[in-house]
Formats: sequence, structure tokens, C-alpha cells
Amino acid sequence: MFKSYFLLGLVVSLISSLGAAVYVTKYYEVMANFSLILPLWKIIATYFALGLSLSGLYFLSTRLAPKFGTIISNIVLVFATLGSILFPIMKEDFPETLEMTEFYPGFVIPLHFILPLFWLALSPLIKKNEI
Amino acid sequence: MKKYYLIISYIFLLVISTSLAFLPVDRFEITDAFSLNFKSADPSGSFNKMEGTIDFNEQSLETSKFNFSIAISSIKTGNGMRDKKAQTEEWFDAKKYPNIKFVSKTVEKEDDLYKITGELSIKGTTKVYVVKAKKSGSGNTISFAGSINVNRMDFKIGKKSDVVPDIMKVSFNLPAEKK
Repeated sequence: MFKSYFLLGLVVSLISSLGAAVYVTKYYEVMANFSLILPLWKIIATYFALGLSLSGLYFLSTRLAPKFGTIISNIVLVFATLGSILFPIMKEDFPETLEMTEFYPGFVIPLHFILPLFWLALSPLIKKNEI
Repeated sequence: MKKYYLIISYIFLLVISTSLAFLPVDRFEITDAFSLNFKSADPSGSFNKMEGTIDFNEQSLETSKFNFSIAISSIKTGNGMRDKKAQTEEWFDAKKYPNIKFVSKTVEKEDDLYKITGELSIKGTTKVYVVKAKKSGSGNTISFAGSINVNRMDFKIGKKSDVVPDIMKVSFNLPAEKK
């Protein structure tokens, strides 16, 4: 069971990182380059940290509350994702040399949804394995 | 036994990725004591206004980054008329492109020098340049010094002329303090 969640965390992190790499590289090329404050390697590291944390959270919650663990974790994930978008909106401490900072929230917010969406899309696979 | 390997590898990956995600970057800001001079047979001069940051971590050069912006309006050649001419459309077109920018892509160590490869943008044109710089200082104050040759024709600065050479030698000394 833990192995399945661990594997799901890795797969989701990897797919999200690939998606983010395409989006971020294109955005930095065409729109505005925020690599000074948000380099791609940091996004990938964050996705792996989050993906693996979700593995742990879902595994523990389904262990502790087999009936409601998944739904509780899903709700936590949704609220945490929605709440996290406040951070880029409220960010003000940009380096002086960075331009077009008004685009920053609009650029970052989609990144906050990539991993949770992949997680919610692929997590039913675990259920199948259970049955 | 297999189960333990699984848990150990999970914890290992979680710790590594979390550490990288929250890795603090040592950010330095260029101080006003910087010098940025250009030299040729004629003219020579300096830029007196620039701002920028250096994200520098000796142990992790792949995360290091140099980012500068130099104000064209601050050019000083020792001749007021020439300084004004430098702002015109024919030369830097300062109205449309008020700043020279440099953003590094990679930083590598080569013997006792740092090889900084980055994009130099002048007058709407961006070219990749490699800058070699020597670092001095440590702790909260560091400094990078070096020089590069910039071909003004790469950026359409002025017209080809027998009086003003194409190649300008730009030397810099960039002291920076930790933010």
C-alpha cells in the first residue's frame, strides 16, 4: 500500500515537473523572465517535496481513517492549493532589477494547480490496486 | 527488509527535495562603489549608475545568478556633447532602451576565475557573452572584477566609422553586499 502511494508521488512529481518545465521555459522566453526569483530547479524540487509529502499524507490518512481518509485528504489538498495562491498575490519583495513583476501572480498561480490536478487525476489508480 | 529500504528511500528523497526547495540563496546587492569603464582608442568613459544582484553560492554554482541593469543616461565620456549624443537613436537610443542588461545563464569555475555565460541586451538586441571574473572577498562582502570586449556593431550602436572602433573593452569591478 505504501509502495503504491510512494510510486504515485514520484510519478505525479515527475509528470508535473515535465509540465512545469514546458510552461516555465516557454513563459520565460516569450513573456517575462522570473528565473531570478523562481528558477526551474526550485519548482521541480518543490514538486517532488510536495508529491512525496502527499504520498505520506494519503497513506497515513487512509491507514488512520480507512473510510474517510481519502476524502479528508482531498479536501485538505483543495483548500491548501486554493490558500497557497495568496502567496504570489501578496508577494511584494521583488528585486529592483526584475521587470514586469505585475505578471508574477498570473504566471505562478497555474503552477500551484499542476501537481494537485495530476494527483487527483491519477490517485484513483491506487483504489484499483486496493480492490 | 524490503519494506525498510522503501521507507528509507522515501525519507531520503523527501529530505533531499525539501532541502532543495527551501535552499536559501545567498543574494548580494551591487553597492555604489562599483566601477564600469569602457575603453577604446576613442572614446573612453564609464557608466555611473547600475543596479543588480548576485545570487552566489560557491558550493552550488548551478544555482548562482548574476543580474545587472546599467542606466544609459549615466554614461560619462568626459565630453558633455558626446554624452548627449550617446543617448540618441543612432547610438544607444536611450529613450526606447534606457538600460543595458545582463542576465547570466550559467556560472562555472575555471581555475581561479569564474566563467559567467549570459545574455547581454543592448538597444533591443540580445547576444550571448562569456565574461571571466575574479572573485575577491568573502562573507557578507564579495567583489567580482574582470573585463570583456564588446563589439558595438553587434548591437547596432552607432555606424561603422574610422574614428570610433567597433570593439570596446569594458572593465568592471562589482563589489556587492549580502542583502
